[in-house]
Amino acid sequence: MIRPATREMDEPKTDAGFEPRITAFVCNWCTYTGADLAGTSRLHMASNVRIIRLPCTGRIDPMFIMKAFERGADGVIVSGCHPADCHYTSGNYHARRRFTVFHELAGFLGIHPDRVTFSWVSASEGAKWRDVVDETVARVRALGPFSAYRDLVGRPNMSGESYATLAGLFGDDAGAASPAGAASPGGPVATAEDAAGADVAQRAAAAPAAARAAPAAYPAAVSPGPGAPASGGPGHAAGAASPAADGSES
Amino acid sequence: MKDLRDLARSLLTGGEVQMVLGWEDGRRGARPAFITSPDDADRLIFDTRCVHNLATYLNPRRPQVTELGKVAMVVKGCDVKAVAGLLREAQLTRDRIVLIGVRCGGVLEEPALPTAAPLTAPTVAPRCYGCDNREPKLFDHIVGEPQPEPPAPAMTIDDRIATLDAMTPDDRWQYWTNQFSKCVRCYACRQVCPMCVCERCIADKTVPQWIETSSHPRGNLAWNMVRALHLAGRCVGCGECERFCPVGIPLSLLNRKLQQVVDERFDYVVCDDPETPAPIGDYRPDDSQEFIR
Repeated sequence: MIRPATREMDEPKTDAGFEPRITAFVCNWCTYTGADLAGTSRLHMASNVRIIRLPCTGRIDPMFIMKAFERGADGVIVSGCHPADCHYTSGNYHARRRFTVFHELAGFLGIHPDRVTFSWVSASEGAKWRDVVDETVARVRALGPFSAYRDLVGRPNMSGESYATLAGLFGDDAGAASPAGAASPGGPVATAEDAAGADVAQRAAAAPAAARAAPAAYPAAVSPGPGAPASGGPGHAAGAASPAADGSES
Repeated sequence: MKDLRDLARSLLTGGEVQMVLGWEDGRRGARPAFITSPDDADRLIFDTRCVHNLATYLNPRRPQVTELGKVAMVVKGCDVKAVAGLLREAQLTRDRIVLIGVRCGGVLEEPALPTAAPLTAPTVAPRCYGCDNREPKLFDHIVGEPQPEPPAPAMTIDDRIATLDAMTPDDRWQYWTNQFSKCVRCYACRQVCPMCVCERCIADKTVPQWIETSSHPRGNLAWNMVRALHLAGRCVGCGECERFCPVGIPLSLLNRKLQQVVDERFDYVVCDDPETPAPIGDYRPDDSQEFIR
């Protein structure tokens, strides 16, 4: 049973009316107090941020950030005490290592780095908190809603065509693509599009490869028919017939 | 191979260990062997088909083997890094195991062959290219001759990562969400991993539920992300998760990417020295933080 992400407000229909929703995970001792100072100082800042107060940045599991996106956030702020200022001596040092890994992995998976802001804001830096908030809201506003994440719920399973595309990306099954890939190791490679393009041309030839990559457990997802939406599209035509889509509606 | 069998036989005969864990010939190529009698020591083999990381049997989640008593385990260079990882994290004590290191020249990607095959660019496991531990440094006994370097695969894991890194974030997102949408959440990647030691995995927790349990792209993304994150700085790169994945998600790209990250950022390369602290759980005050405002 897949539930849609809960939203307190209706999603604006147009980009012009888009107001980013930002979740901020802040530590109790520095940034929360700093944000409080910003408020008592009557500093003007964007009102898009919902603050979640935690004892320390060391308490912030990277899963919090993923969960925030899952539940409808368009951007996330993670903020705590400056290095060497941690109330618990070393919580922010440990957190910094985890955030480093998360930051790199999220980028590798294709989550735009501007969606997550990491910052150190001390209890006296109300003005810096205002800047962090305003800049984050501006960046996320420019990126638009993170519908790519939320739309994953309604997405159909892999289709046969998508399997073929995946197989061709690294020239696994297309002999012609591998020399190009091997000739440019480490360098900026244009093979992403090249390989995909070559793969489209070779799709007929790659059909056995797709069949091998797609285990027999996925017959229903394969071949929704010619003219079916590509992998990027919502693909309701394909999804409507699948049991998963039925389950999500009930 | 004779010295391996002789050593196993003498360890079992002398009662120093109750079991020798290695590889043997099976119906579908090499398979793990659990030798408890000196008479069976001649079943042991070691060749390019011995891809399995046997350290997973030392995992505290899987006590069936270690409960039998002291175990001698045949380890390749990559396997012994996992043993060192378990020692490092106090999941295992050194006096419980006898390590029989084997000098390894790389293994095949696919072990289901009736006889050992020479390594070539199409057949070698990509992870073996550039291996820094072809001769284990953590061992009680070491057997075998020094082996040559494995051949390079047509496209190395690092090349693949570079290809992905050169793409736009949106294209990467498309690539990975497509890959993860294949996931059926069988958790084979977790079950086979020697370093996944939690008694209760976060993916099995329902109150609160951090990872959506049904197999749809959003929960799959969360699962695969958290699996990679929990192995950051711990993954030894044995590639068993990817080999066991029934739908062929390229998990080694994620694992290798995080290996690169901890190497670049924290100057840490996973090794078979149990005394070296793991990078997550450790810190330096001057860690780089250019991404933090």
